[in-house]
Amino acid sequence: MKDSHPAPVESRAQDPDERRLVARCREGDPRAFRILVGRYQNRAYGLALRLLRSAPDAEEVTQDAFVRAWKGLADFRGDAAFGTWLYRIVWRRALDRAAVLKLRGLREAPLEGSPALETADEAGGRSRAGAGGLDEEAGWERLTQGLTEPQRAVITLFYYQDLSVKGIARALEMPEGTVKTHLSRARAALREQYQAVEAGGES
Amino acid sequence: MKSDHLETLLDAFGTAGLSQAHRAHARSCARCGAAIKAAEAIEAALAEPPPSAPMALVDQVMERVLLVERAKLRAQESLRTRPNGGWRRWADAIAAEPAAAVVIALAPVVLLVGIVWPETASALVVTVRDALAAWVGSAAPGVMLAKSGLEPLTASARLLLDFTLIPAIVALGFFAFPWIGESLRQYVSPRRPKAPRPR
Repeated sequence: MKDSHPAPVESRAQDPDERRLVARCREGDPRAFRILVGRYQNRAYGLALRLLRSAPDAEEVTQDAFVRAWKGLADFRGDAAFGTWLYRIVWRRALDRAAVLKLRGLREAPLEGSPALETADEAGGRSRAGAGGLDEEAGWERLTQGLTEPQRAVITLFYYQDLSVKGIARALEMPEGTVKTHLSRARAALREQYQAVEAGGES
Repeated sequence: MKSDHLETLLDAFGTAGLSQAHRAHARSCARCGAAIKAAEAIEAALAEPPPSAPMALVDQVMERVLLVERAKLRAQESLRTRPNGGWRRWADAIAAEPAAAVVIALAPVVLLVGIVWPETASALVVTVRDALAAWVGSAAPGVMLAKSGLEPLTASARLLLDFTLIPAIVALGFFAFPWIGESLRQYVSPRRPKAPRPR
């Protein structure tokens, strides 16, 4: 599964291949953009999914973010990696979407059949596997349900997308101190949640 | 070493912030050992990739990108082939929004009525106000409305009111046209390019 995900975004900051692709996109070459979409689709979708916890919403936000990226490539200065810039768009679109969902009262009720719902449902019945009993997405869902959106974004970008604090600060347009605070609070909340689950499982 | 200190370290830096001394301490301290075990399990879970993007995502994105490009090309082509592109572009933009076109068409009528027939304009305002008052009165009987009528106003105040109506209607139209336009667009058939004439 990891194979389908590209190398960390920051290591691509000076990637000449990516620079060429971005330059071709700015000249209006859709084939170059197709390659970029292929490279970043899983990461962009993953971030959106972990922020929104609903597969259909995550898909819509991801599509929307890529289309906006295409339209906005003229404004992309190239001083950050394309991925960092894309994450910023995904993050903004996901926040907008989350606000709309909150207004509609659908936030915690993903559509039936969506992966987010399936994993949440399966969380109760599936045998707990892996390190410390966390089974991938169900474990992730269960662990992170109490986190705020910025905390989810920060831990996703830090642990899964391998971005540094500086890279996250650029992507989410936050001061580095704020990113560190979100990371620290998220870790503390996760640890408490994990230990509570463990204690519940043992008793 | 205090367990609080180790937990603060874990929260700030994760397991990467632990030294050999911390780990050695954790072997003999149940609380610290549990905290490290929890942190390691959490980090492993967080590093797991979420489900991959749907198979068709790239195609769907590219379909939308191509639509954007086609619309851009059409706009460029339309500007290139038409003389006086500046004002024609403005006129086309207005014509593309049905509500904006209605507002632009109505504004001079309102202006004309206000200037040429100020009494008629005042009468229209009174009629609209009375109708509104009647509607609100029937919909919410408990609501007290001020008595309508413009008689107490001076002629200049009436004229001022008439002129205020025009920008108000235009502003209302422009504020409203994003959604009015959207709802009306379904009834407006899209322009089709003319077929080339046979030679």
